Parts: sequence; C-alpha cells; structure tokens
Amino acid sequence: MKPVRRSAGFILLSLLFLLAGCITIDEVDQPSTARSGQNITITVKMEIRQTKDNPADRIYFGFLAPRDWNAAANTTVSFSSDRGDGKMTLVPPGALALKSNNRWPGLLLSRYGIGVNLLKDMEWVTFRTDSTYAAINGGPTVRGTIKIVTRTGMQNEIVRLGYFATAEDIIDPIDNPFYGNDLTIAGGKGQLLDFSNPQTATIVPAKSVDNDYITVTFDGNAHQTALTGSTAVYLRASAYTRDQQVINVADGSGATRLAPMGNNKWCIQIWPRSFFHLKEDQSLSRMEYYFTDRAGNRVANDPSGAPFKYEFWDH
Amino acid sequence: MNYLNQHRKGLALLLVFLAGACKPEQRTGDKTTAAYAGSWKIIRAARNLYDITAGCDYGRSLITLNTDGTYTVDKTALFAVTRNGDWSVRKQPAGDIIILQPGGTTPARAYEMQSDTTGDAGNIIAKFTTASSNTYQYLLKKIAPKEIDKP
Repeated sequence: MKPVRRSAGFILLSLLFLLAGCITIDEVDQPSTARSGQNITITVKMEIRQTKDNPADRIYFGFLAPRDWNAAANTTVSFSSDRGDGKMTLVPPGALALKSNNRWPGLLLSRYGIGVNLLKDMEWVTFRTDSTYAAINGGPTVRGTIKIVTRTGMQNEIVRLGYFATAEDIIDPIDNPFYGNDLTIAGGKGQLLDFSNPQTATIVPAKSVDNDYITVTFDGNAHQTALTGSTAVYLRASAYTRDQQVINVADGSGATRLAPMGNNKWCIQIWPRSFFHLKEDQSLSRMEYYFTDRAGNRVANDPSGAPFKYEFWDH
Repeated sequence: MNYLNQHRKGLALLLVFLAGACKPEQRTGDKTTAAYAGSWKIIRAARNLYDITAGCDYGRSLITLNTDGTYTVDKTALFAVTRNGDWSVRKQPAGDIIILQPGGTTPARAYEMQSDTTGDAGNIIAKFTTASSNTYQYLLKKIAPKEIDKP
C-alpha cells in the first residue's frame, strides 16, 4: 500500500481554512490492487482542530464506493485517536444531515458528486462515531485514524474511492473530500468498468436486471472509432434470454438512437424488457451491443473487434 | 388535488406493491383515494439519485389509478409492475401508502412515493426499488384525460 498525501499547496490552503475549524484528512493508505470480493483495509489519517465548544461532538465519515460493493452492508469502520478509540456505525439511511433537510447520501452526492470518477454508479455511505467527545475551543489538535475494512464488488473495476470527514455540526468543510489513487479490482466478472478513465462504451448500473433502466453511453473521444465525430449514433444489440433465445434489435429507429451529450458523447436509457419486447415469462442473462450510424455502415465495436458485453444480474 | 395542496409539506406517500402477502385495503371512493385517482405521467426520472431524464423517451409513460380501484400501467415505461391490477390507499403515521395488487402471480416489489414540495402543485414523486436494489425516483404530473394521447 502506498499512502496518498495531499500536496504542499493543498495543505497550505487547508491550513488557512482550518482557522474556521474542521477536520483535515491528510493521508489515506489504501491498496492499489485487489481481487473481486476481497476484504481490503484502508486507513485515513486526520487532524481535528478544536475551534468551538461542543460537549457532545461526533465525527461523521463518508465513504464513496461503487454501488455494486454494497458498502453499507459490507464495511466496518473504527476510529482511534489520542482522545480515545471506538467504533463507527452506519448512519441510518433516512437520517437527515445536521443543519440540512437532506439525507446524508444525497447531500454528499449533490455537493461533491463522485469526484474524479466518471461513471454515475457510485454511492456515499456515511458512518459516525458511536461515542461523543467534548470539543473545547482552543483545545489541542486531535490526531485520529479511521480504519475501514470493506469488501470489493464482483465486477472488474478501476475506481478512485472517496473519503469525507466532518464534525457533527459542520456539513461542508472546505478541505473535503479526499480521493485515493486508482484501485484496480481484478478476477471479477464482466467487462472492465473503468470509473476514472474514459471508455468507448459503458453501461450503468453495473448491477441490474432486465426490469431496470440501464444507461448505455458511447464516448467517441475515448478511442478513435468509425463513429467519432458522427452526427447520429444508434445502438444495435443482441439480448440472450435465460430460455436460450436471442433477440436482436438493429432497426435504426428512434428507439435505438442515442441522445447527444456534447463533445462526442452520446447516451440512451433503455428498459430492456420493453426494448427487446420480452414476453412476460422471459428474462435476460446478458447482452452484446455495438454502435452504428443510421444505415449501419459505420460501426464502433470493442477495440478487439468484438461487440461490447453486459451481464444482467441473476436474482 | 385539494387534499394534496393542503397537506403538501407533511404528506409522504408510500406506494407499495405487494403480491399475495396481504390483501390490499380497498377504500375506493373516499377522499384520500380520490386525491390520487387519475393518470400520472413521468416528467423527470432519477436512478440511485442520478438524473436519467436525458436520453430517455418517456413519451406515453403513464400510470392510471382509476376511481373504480383498478390501475393500468403503460407498457413502454418502467413502473416495476408490468401487469394491471387493483390499487388502494392505506393510512400510515408517516404518510399514506398506496398499494398496487397486480393480477397474476408477479413477485412482490416495494415502491415509495412522496409529494413534490418544490415543483408544480399536485406533482408527486414516486420512489421504488427493483429486484436489483436500484432505486428510482419519478416526478409524476397528473394528466387530464384529454391530454393523455398528446405526445
């Protein structure tokens, strides 16, 4: 593991804001590689500056991870410091953030998004110290370490995890969040989901059934393709049912046309049950897809020449 | 609609679709049921808190709660229930629960709904979770019958 530290300039900027009082994350030690479904340990070192009196303060800690990790169920968090140690427990999903009418996951997502990551299939999960501590204005700076043990998802991924820490009554500390370097998850299933680098084709969410909306995105800038710079992009797909049928959609109709997002990026939301005209007793196991112009003459496939692949969750 | 307007802040609607586990409570004709009866169209959508309105054709994406206690869902939009059936309203301390009971033996799924306190009066926010744990939030607008077939 290689600790990730903030740059000198960032630390200087943070120190300026520390005068207002908050928690500074100044080092994260996380692995750079892991296997799918593996427990990994991450430590987050921080400083807590006491700038106001609060007889019963708590530390809130947010962790940004891919949704397929199900971090709320698969993560334990503990806290150690020169003022004592303890456990951190999951903030109930419905709990409102203090000084806010928003729930913690939505608040962090709306304020900070997913940081440097690109795929909108991540979630903030929030923990808080079980015990409270007395903050004394002007008291000595407290040094603490948060230890996270979490299980990676079953998908092959490259992702930059995010970390957020704050005192109980400060929702928006200026020196948060902190994002780690790329973490590569291998040994899993499915096409690589690269959260932190552009890919020609992506589908989110990583975990879905045919009775979900899935977002199919084409990025003509990720790699040069026959459709890079095109004025219209269409989806062509083959769906494989669990009763061994193959359903092809390649009609170049409005239903298969991607919407422009600007800068050579396109997307379409599809409800597979409707898109592939499934019968009521049919369900999908996987899908292969590629992109074309309307006539189907120009094609954007996987760089290997094969279609892109997506597996539906088997529930 | 007046009921919704009068209780917008405190009203949290939960739409729960149950199959088989319990018999839906039918209260057709009462004031609460009348407030929800009508055709609702998706005008915005989010999945797992991310907006997915762009790139999605919600054209005729309607769910219709009829005054006779039946409902119909449009086959071109995800409402998690794909079969038509019966609906009812149940009072809960945190808000109303609307129960959809589809026909057939469709597996049970849960939905949530809330009133929209920020947009146009009368809009409601529908929340539900699919079998894959993806959570959807639709902003629904009540559509007059004469507007239903308009694009």
